[in-house]
Amino acid sequence: MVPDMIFTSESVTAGHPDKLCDQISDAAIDAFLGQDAAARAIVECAIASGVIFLAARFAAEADVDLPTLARKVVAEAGYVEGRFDARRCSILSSFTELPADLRAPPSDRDEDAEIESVVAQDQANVFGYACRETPELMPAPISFAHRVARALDEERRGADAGWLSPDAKTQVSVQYRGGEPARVHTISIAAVVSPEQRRAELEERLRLIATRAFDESPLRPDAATEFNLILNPRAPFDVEGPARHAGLTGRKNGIDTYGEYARHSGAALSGKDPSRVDRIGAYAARHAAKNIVAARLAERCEVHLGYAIGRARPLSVAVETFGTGAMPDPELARLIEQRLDFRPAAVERRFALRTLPSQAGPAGFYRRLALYGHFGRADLDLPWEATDVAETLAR
Amino acid sequence: MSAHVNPTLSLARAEIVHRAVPGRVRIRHFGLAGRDSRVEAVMKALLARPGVASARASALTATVLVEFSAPASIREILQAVEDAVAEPQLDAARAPFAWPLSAAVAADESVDLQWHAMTAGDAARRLATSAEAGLDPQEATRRLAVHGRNEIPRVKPRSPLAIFGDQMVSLPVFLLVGSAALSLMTGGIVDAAVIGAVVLLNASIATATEHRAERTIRSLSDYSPHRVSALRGGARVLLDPAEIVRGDILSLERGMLIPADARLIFCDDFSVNESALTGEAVPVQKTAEWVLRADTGLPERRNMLYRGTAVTGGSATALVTATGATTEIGRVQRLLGSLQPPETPMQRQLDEVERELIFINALVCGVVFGIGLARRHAFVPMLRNAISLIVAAIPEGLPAVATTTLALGVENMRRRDVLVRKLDAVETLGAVEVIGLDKTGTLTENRMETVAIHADGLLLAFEGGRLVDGDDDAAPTAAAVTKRLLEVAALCSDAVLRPEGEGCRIDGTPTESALLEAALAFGVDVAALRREAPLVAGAPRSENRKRMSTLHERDDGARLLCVKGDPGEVLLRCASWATKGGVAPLDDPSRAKIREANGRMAARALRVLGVAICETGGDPRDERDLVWLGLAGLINPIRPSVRPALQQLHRAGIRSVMITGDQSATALAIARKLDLGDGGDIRVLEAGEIAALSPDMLAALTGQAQVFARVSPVDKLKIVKALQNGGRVVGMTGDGVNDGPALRAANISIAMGGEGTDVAREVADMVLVSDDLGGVVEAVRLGRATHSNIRKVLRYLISTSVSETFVMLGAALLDGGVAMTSTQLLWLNIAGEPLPALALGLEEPEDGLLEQPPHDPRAPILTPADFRYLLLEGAVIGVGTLAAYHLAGGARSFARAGTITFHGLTLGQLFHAVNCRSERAGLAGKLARSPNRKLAGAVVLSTVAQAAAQLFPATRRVLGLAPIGGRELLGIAGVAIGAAAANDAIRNLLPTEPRRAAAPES
Repeated sequence: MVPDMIFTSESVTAGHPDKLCDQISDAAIDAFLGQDAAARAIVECAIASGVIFLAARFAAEADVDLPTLARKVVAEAGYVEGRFDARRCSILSSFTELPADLRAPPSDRDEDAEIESVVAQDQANVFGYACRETPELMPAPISFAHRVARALDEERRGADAGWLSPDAKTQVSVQYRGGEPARVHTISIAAVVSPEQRRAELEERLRLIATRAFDESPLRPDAATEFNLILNPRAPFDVEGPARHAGLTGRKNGIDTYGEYARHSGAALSGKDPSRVDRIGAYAARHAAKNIVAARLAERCEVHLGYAIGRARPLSVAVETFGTGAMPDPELARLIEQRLDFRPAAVERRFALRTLPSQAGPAGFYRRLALYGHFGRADLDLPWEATDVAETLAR
Repeated sequence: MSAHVNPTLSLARAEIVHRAVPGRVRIRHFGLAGRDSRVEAVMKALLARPGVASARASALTATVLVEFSAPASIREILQAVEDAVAEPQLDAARAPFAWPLSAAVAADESVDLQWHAMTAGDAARRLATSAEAGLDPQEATRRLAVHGRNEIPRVKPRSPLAIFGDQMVSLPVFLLVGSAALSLMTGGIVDAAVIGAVVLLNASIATATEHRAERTIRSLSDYSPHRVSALRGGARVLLDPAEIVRGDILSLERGMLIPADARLIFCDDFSVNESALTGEAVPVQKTAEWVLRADTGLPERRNMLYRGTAVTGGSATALVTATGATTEIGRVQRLLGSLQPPETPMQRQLDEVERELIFINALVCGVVFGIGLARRHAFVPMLRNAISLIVAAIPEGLPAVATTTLALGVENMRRRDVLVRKLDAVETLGAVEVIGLDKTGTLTENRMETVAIHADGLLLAFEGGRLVDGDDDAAPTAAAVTKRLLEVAALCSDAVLRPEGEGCRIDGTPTESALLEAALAFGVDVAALRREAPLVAGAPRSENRKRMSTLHERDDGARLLCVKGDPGEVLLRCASWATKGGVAPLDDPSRAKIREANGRMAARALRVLGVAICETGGDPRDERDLVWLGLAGLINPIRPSVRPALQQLHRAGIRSVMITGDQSATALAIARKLDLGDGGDIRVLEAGEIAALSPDMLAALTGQAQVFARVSPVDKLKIVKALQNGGRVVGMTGDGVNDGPALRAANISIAMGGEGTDVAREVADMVLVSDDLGGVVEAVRLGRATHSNIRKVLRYLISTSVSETFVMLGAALLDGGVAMTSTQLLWLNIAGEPLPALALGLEEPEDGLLEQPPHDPRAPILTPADFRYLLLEGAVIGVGTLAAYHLAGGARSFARAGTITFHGLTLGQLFHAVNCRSERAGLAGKLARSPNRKLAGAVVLSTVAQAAAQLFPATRRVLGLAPIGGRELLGIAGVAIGAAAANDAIRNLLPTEPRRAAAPES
């Protein structure tokens, strides 16, 4: 990591087509697991030309009305009326039922043999990262970008909505000095706004929203922070969202993880049930990295888990602390390997990944991850964000 | 007569049909209908106005299309049209609208027919009837006698004589007559007689078959509509719709076809689909109270009903204002609706083939004639010969082949309980590529069935009296709770159990009947149960009370309160629930679990009822502290015939799609049961707003999905049209009430006959009398067989013609000789061709017809490759005959060679008829195929005739035949058998079969 640099991460709001797809996919996973904790499901979504394409392959004792679910997500993302909206959009869904014996009934028995029997279904390199840049131990740029995106969504849902389209993109550039985030260099927002209001007024409003997003943050925009507001980039009457550009599940991996600040796997996180190691492995890796940093064993830490097809235990557990470790990296790796079980079935049980959706209420569990990142979520009580093993590791 | 203003015309007003494009307006005025003089007057009047750029009017559609600019305005144009139509003209006497009926109406009743502009009471007074009591029966009889039956007059069928006459006016007959005249002029009396015989024979066969076909076609529109409930003399009677007269008071409800024009008296949430009249697919809400302005256009007359339109919802009472031909639709149909069978696409194709053949043959004859002259043959015999060749080589009656074969197909289907109402439906059926299925009334039955039970926290399947958990029988504890649930449902029920024969009959609503059936199937002795615990009090279901409660008392005085109804409502009144461990308190998690089960059952398209009991009695109007027993899930079962029928359709390469207004989940549940995905995934298109999709996108999407969910009636039409994209042939089933336009848009529409509404039967091209979707499969099979039979006939007729031409041309080129005399050619035409051709059209469907993909509807019935093949087949027969001709001495010993040629060719052709029986199997297979007795008879008869021609000296003389011996016989047999065998060998040697390349070998 270069000590002095400017790093930019981006986030998008709920109405971005890629994120809509992620949310629909994960809402479907919530619905399947909510009815059947043993469900296996892969739900992929694409949006193009105002048509939603859904492909669900599942083995579940559940009756899920996917199109209705998708319409609900679209409506809640803010598309209630317009060229693309929840009521008028068309949905082509493809349902492939897998044999019922593929279901993965959760078991309370903690027998090692049983955990060992659940193997990775595919090869996966997953990464977990943590650093001390924010209270949630996340890199500052992505954390800030999410803050601004969230603030935009909240503004749009507010009483005076309507001037802001549900589809917006935020980018926050953070200037690093000596390896530490020093100041917020630039905040960029690309959004479509109502053409009826005065531009200067709206820009001022966006600036205010963006600034207020940093209220709780130790690092805030300063007088020199640039605001780069790209409003209605194409035409005054431009439409954003699915009426204009297409979306696909799993195309916002950087936003879902660490804002490209650390490595992340190429596999999508959303739309997969907890039997998929490329999803839950990433959660386990983040858990390990975060606990290493929380245990003050390192200032920055990246955990790599390498799963191979047909095996339960990862072939490789590696830790990289970028020279900030309290002990050599290989020792840290051995430490987490001893204290944490990275086998898929163990991770799934440790985090209760199959039962969380049924307890999460109407907002869902996985669906909420599909927006503003899967990691560093102070607003959600995520099992992989808990620093519950920090003490054990520190000992 | 000029003073007589036709009363019906006064009703007609100029209406704007279309004005979306500025500067263009399309106006309809029924006064223009069928009156060419008016059309001219209107155009003249319009063009005389400043600003009118063009005016085009049609008497057929009764519309005027005007292009205009300032200073002309739409209002002025409308006025001008009205004035021009209204102007009294001398032609009024000839006007088709001045039928006596109207005069009668005008004579005894008010001329003012603006029924929509008066109150219902006024209308009743004018028509001398009463809304409360209806017409006096005697008066009704009188009116029926005066005004005639409520029927739209049909075009009279052609008499056999007329058909025979029509046969005489065709190009082949002209040629034949011309040739007969030439023969007479040149002294060939015998030839002329034979030609006359040919003409008469062909015309007779054609007349007989066409007459039969026409009779079939006419009977297509014969069906007896349901009777209509009417008020007469204060009593409710059921009337044949044809007996309805003006002034009758009718009761109308959903699914009916309105039998006559009527003014609404009373209606309750009444909507009508008037697309038959206005083309507007969205149902119109009707109202009785309104009185409209006199100039209100027909589509806006909200207080009027029109014959031929369909009731889509609600009920109504209406006063008949016009019947029969005076109804709006009657007037339109008089213009458009002659029952002359329309020319089918296949007929058109065949006409074209015939024309082409005549042209080619004429050329060949020209060449033969030319060569003959060059070789110094006498002019007259050569000319006669050339003409005979044309006569022989032209496959007369080719277009009649299609009509006849299609009509036979219709009759065949009728025998299998499939009514076809359009001739070309048979042809279309053979080419159907996609079938759209409407769920309601087609895929599902109207009765209900209990299929799921949620008891003791378990969601169980209920299959024919068995309670199933996953793949196994449910636990006995759950079965005990279920039994109690069904007992309570049987007690808390209005359904009546009547012993009947061995078992019993259940009278009740579909839901209660289904629950009672389930109880019986599960071993509950319902009769005993009801005897032991008779009903003492009850509270029925009502608008605000979505549950039913009954109180029962046993002999020992113990009281039972039974409750069933809306799960949410019943659950609210429960304090505990029955579990395997006995009655347990109902805590919040258990309630949530029950609600979730309810949701899941609802998502499976089930109708869900909650059942509860209080063993200590209670007030049926104020139930409390009940014990929850569980949920029962009911469904409209899918017709048993559907799944096998769909499988067969899939095998036959026909895509099936379900189009329904249901939610995706409901639709998907049914699609899964029916295996619409054919083993693969099931794709559901839940269209939000189809209008918002681009046509390309819609076409692409419709090509993908097997299920179309949440489809509105209007969008149904759009989907059908999108399915037709690229010329695909689409069949559509429906009940016609809400999907009339979609049915009409489909290439072939199919209705269920037994339960179907009048509307469906009116709209559909095909009615399945036995409500069995298997009828569609059968119809497709017969449709394909008909198509393939027509091909067989064509193959025979064309390849034999080619062989004749080949022989004549070949002989002319070879040695300048004439292989056959004109008389011989004509004989061949009678003896060799017509009978086998007819018989081939009657071939039974071949095996494996349903294992092939549908034929390409865009391809002609005979492709160029087919023609090349036919040419080859004809050439083989021709070459064989020529060889025999040459070996027998050719032109040098004409009598002998000609005799061998004549017999060889005739027999070769007859043998070829057998070869034409199938496009697939070899000759041996064809002989082994289930025999076609008619063909065998035809071949035998023709052979006998041929032998007779040789045996009798008279015919021998006329035909110019030489006596034949063993060598000649050998030569003849060689030609006939050799050609057939060669053709068979060629068929086997060809790398691919013509046309049906993909067809599997049988």
